[in-house]
Amino acid sequence: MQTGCDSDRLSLYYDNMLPQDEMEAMKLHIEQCPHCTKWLAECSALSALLQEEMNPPADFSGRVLEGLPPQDKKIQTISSWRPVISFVGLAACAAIVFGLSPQTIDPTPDMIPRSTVELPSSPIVDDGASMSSSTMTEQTPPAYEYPDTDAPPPADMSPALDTSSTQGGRNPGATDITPIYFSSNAQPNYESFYLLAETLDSPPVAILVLSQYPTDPHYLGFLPEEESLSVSSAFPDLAYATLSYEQVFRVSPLFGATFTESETDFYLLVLPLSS
Amino acid sequence: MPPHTQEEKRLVHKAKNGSQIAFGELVSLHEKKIFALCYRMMGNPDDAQDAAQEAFFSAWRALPNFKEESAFGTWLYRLANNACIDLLRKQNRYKTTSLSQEFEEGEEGAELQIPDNTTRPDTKFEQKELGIALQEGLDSLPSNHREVLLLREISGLSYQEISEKLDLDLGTVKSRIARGRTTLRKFLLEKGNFSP
Repeated sequence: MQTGCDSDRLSLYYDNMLPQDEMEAMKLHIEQCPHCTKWLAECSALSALLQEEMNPPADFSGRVLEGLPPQDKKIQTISSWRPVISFVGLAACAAIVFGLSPQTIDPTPDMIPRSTVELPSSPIVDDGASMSSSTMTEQTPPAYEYPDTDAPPPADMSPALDTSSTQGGRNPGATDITPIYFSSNAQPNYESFYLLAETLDSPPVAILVLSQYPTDPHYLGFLPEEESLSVSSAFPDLAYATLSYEQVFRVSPLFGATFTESETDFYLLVLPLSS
Repeated sequence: MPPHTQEEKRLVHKAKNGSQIAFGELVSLHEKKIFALCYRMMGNPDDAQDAAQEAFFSAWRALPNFKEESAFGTWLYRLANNACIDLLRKQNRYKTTSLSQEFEEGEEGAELQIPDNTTRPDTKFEQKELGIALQEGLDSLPSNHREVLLLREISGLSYQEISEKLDLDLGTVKSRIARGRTTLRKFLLEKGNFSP
């Protein structure tokens, strides 16, 4: 057991993060060590200094209230999940309504879940700062059960799709899509995806990332580049699609998302698919 | 008013239903702490104001779906931290403006940073000398180390919560907190105006 004047261990002691026996040993050491006693007192003073409140500029709250954006829509509980569209339908719908190019919707046959599994009875709603209880370093995608037969490749990914009628248009069928997950506009990062992976155990879903950031279709959130995660590499078993800057503005109203000119607007949608 | 009070919950429920008046009261209750966190992260009052404002905007937008699994204040801290990181990233100040000098004992990826003198607090923003020294000390930390330390010290997140939020292993969180404290303490002692 280590004791002694070790700042790393003193810091852990300060936060009560050492095992109980080591806490007691460290306490005994500190009682006899002026250096460590002083270190802890300084640490405590540092905490108090860091936690001091600061007055914001005058009328800060007034300016906040003047600039309030629209609130997100409250997601209603879905009593039972039912697949409303097929992946082919979604792909066609997305392509027709939003003018998706074949490059931006990229589900290969191997990426399409092929079984229908019951979803949770209520949707998952990201409150904007959600934190999963799991260890985020695990990158295991959710387990899926595949039938014996292969699903056909999605024919609707053909570049021959006519998207000319999509400008300002709205496919009536698209309104049937009920998101089973709808993030808030508070910069969800890939924690959200891990949360999804845990909770949406094995549903056939499509993920739409709505963002004005050109890199966000590939990198979720605003993590350092080396910590960012490609959607496709993180969840190869999920069908997914990403939308470009222009497409975002056309698709967002369908799901109640209100995009502003803010560069931080960022929505994450998970849509049900039928097998 | 301390968090977790019935009054705060009442305000949160009203704000969730669209009451801007209730939200205004929540802003007033938390603005000093949120601004302090943003100032400590950003290093200057203008950016701190922008980040704090964005945090409250995010809170307002997301309130209808706020599950109240944590206290409103805790949730707000997380949004504020997100807003700061976003702003730092836009300014290319997240893990940037660094020297090649290794930080402390050479933790991988960590470099000692030069405080960005273009964003020093302007003179109209009054601070005590110690507060300024504290900010200089914080600015000398790599931004990802500063973030971990502030999540612990100001936001009050546990080591495990920080680990999950930032996708860092627990050892890295422990190390960054300890080294952040050690560096700040040393910085303030060298400045000669820090005596507990």
